[in-house]
Order: sequence, then C-alpha cells, then structure tokens
Amino acid sequence: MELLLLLGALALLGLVILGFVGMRQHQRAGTVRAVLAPRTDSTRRTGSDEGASGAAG
Amino acid sequence: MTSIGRAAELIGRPVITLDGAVAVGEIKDVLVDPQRSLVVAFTLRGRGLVAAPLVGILTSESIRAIGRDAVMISSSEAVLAQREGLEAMVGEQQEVIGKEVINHGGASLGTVSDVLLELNDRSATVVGYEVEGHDGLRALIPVDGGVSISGDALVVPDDAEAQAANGLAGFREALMRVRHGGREPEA
Repeated sequence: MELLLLLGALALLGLVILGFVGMRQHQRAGTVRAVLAPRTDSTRRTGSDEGASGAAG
Repeated sequence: MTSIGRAAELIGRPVITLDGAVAVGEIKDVLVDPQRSLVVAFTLRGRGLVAAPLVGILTSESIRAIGRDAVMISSSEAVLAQREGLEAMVGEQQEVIGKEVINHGGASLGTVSDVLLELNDRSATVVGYEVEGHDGLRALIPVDGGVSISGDALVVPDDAEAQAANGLAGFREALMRVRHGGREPEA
C-alpha cells in the first residue's frame, strides 16, 4: 500500500515537473514580430483642444 | 562586410557587453518593421531554463556588432527593462511567422516561415521572406523596399514569386536582380 502511494506521489511529482518545464519553454520561445506603428497620441484631439480651437475660431 | 541569414537563427544568440564581457541574456524575439525593412529591436530572455523569460528590450541603435556567435553591446545599460515603458515604445506587434503571403494581384503564395535579413556589422535589414507554399515547398522571396503587413496578411509585389530562390546562394543573386530592377547586375 505504502509502495503504491509512493509511486503515485512520484508520478504526480513527475507530471508537475514536466508541466513546469513545458510552460517555461513556452514562455521562453522566441519568434519574429512585426512592429506595426509606434503608439503616439500626437494626432489625438482632446476635448480641451477642441474647445480651444473652437474658441479661437 | 554583409551576410544574409534567417531571423530565427538570431534567436538564442547570447548578448554580451563590451565593457564587462557579461552575458546579459540572449535574443528572444526579433522585432522588425516590414514597411521600412528594418530590424528595430530585440527582446531578451535570461540564459538557462529557470532564468527570466523576458529580461528587457534592446534597440538596434544600441548594438555594437551582430556577430556569428554573439550580439555585442557597449554595456548592460543598453538593455531597457520592461518597466521603462516598452509597450508604449514598440507599439502594436504582429506575429510574422505563419502570416499568409498575398501578392498585389491577390494570389496567395503560402505562409511566412522565416524572415531573411542582411546583417551588417552593426545593423540588420529585412531583405526577404521564406515562404512555405501550399505544396509544402519553401521558397526564398527577395523584397527590395517595404511591404505591407496587417493582422491578416503580408502583401508582396506581383513578381515576388518569379524572383524566388530555393537556397541562400540563389537568394543573393535574386536579391541583386530585384535591386537592379529585374536586370542582371553588372559584374
């Protein structure tokens, strides 16, 4: 009985280690990515900008 | 001196500082700008299975040499840690590998399996794409100038398929032809 429990615990530990290694390899996997456009807010008009331009007009 | 290689070959290459000879990490992702045909940055991961999966980002300006076995930088300060606003700096990203390749005429050529780079001493430019066709065969397509990419597809010129090569030796000649407007380059 104890032997079965020990084997079961070892199998469980093995599965946990395999899962950890697999997850780690997935996290570390590299690839090639395209950068589409740098984020910039320079073209975004805020409410205060619109108010200012409206006041100027 | 320039050489042509695949972007995937850079992944896993150690990044070493010139001032302290310290390996600060290894290349994880290659970030390219297809519209400007430039490699703009690399993300770095720690070395070893238990090391951090993302150490930071290395912009192409901070690279001193892209060597056969390592990428050299001046010091560890060239590596920008993630907390320093990486996401805002690099903008929206799209996975290139697996992207469908369509020419200007609307014909699908297959999917991207790798990106071909021209490596100079300190920089790298995008000069083509390795495309896996619908028949499973891979072809190297030279591109002179930028291409359009979106979440859906990568768009290449109409003559891209005709200029394709099977190996890197043939690709070099095909790239020269594309750069000379389809004419054989003068010896």
